[in-house]
Amino acid sequence: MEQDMQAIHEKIQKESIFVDSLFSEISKVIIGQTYMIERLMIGLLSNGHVLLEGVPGLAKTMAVKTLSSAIQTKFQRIQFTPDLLPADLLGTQIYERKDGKFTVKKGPIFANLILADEINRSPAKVQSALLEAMMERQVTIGETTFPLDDPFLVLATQNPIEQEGTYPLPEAQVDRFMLKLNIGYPSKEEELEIMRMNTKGALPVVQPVLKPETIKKARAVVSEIYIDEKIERYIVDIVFATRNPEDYNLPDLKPLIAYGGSPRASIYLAQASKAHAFLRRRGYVTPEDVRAIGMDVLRHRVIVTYEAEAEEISAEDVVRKVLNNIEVP
Amino acid sequence: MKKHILLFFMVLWLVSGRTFAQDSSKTNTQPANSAIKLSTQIDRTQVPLNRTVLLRASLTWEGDPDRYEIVDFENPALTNLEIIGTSTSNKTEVTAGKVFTRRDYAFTLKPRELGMGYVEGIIIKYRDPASDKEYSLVTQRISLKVTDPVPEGHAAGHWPVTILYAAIIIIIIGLFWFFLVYKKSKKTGMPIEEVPPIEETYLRSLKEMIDFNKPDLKNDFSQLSKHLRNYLAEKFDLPAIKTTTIELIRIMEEREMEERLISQTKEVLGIADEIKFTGRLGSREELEKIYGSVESILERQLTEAKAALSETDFQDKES
Repeated sequence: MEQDMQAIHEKIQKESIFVDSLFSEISKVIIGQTYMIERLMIGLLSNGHVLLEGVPGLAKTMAVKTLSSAIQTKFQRIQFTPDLLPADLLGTQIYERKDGKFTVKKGPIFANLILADEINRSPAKVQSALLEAMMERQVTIGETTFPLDDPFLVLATQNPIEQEGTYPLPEAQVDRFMLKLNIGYPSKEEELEIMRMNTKGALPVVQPVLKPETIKKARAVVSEIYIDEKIERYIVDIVFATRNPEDYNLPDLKPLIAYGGSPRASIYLAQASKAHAFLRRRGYVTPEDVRAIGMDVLRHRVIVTYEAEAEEISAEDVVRKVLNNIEVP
Repeated sequence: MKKHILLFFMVLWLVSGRTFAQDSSKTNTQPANSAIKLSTQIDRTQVPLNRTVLLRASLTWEGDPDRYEIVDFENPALTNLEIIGTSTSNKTEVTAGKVFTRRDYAFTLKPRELGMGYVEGIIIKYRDPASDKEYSLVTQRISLKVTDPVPEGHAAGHWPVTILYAAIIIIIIGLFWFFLVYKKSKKTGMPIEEVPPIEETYLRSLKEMIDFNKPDLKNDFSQLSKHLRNYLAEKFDLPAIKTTTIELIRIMEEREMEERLISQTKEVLGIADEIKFTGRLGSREELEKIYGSVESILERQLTEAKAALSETDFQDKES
């Protein structure tokens, strides 16, 4: 076991070299927002899609664009609008008059990194097409099925304050995102720096420092990271506490939770914890990793009751209470 | 034949004359098919001279309260009795889909002297708005016997109050006595039962926890870590059970706790965490090291606790 751990440790040191250079490239353009950038990296390393929610002007789109610029991958930005059709996203068959045949015109989804900007502005059929592609990692046009590129990562943004003319994602579809991030405002110092940088003139150019092969290798190392049974049980306890809080000495949460986390929550929590450990250059997962990422994995998977909403108790409040009350191994 | 004709006209005159008399006074006796009824009752047939009797006259009819209008209700004419209180009440109830109204007139009567007492008939005049006619209802005479006065039972009636007063006095005396004893014991400096410092308990269970002759290098580290966390939670009210090592150390630093305690806690939990979560077996040297650290923390805290206790005792004696 000790030799295995040593081997994992060496692999991590080798394969995580890109982390610092990626962070430094992104920080040329994005000031602060370390939380968001780190979670985007976790999504990238654990092959999980990320939903970013925050008020306008918090550099959500800019962060994703910068990340894509720093990676030598095919990037597509899709602006979701009410008139967008599934074919605009996935592609369609076009009739060629010369040959008298139909040829396939692939849509923008055939890329490594997709920015689905303002995903809640498109109707359910478009959202559904995207979310199906996210899960299946393949698209069928006509009678032909096309596998999507690898790596394939969707980073979607949505704005929580505008409700008119939006189509909120159903819970079942939100569940397909590994992480849901709530993006907050920068600090005073950070905002001062942002203001200065944006009023100077042109923004610095981000150089690509990461290749898709590097991401694949890093993913392989992430999957090798050791997760002890104690941690696995801790993860399952957290997810179960969102379903049966009374079994974990949290009976007051019972009337507040309509639906707890699904088994997908346990899977994603374990995967994301491994990626978090990788970013800390550690070959094993600790409770710190689980707690650091727990909120981002669970906040969109816990559905609160009307009673909770009436008392202005959010899913985040419930998850926070669960995380703070489950005994750490 | 003439006789018959004369008899016929006499009967006709009598009937028409009666009808005329009713119209003029606008008061009729109760019609045979009327739904309004008057009844009276008294709660006893014999009453001692120094007691009262309750007379109740009840008027009931089918329909809403405004079905009939009570025009006049005279107090009953009494013999050897006098009215000392009156009351009225109305009640409406629905039975089998029908509305019934009940109006009660209650009179509290007091006898005047020994012998017989009488309630003469009660007369109630009412008007039927449907026919716009007035009618009257009369009750029958009721008699009751007035007997010798009964002795007034003051003592018997006040027993519960006396017992209550006695109980209150006993409680007050008891509290006063308790206060005096407490004050006296404080003055004479009676020793208060001492609670042993929790460190003693934790040190005892620490010694029982690890068997260095047969160390369990897989689980002993977890046990030591948990033991220290439990102690920190109990002693310093830290959320040590539900936080990670990094969070716990941060909270200890924020609370500006003793630096040595923080560094030792960091060392113990750090080593234990690494062994717990990497899946590797710890060495005997590592186990001895963190055991020593936990023991050292507990012993030092025990010394401090004892010193603080003796200082408190000294200050108490001084005061």
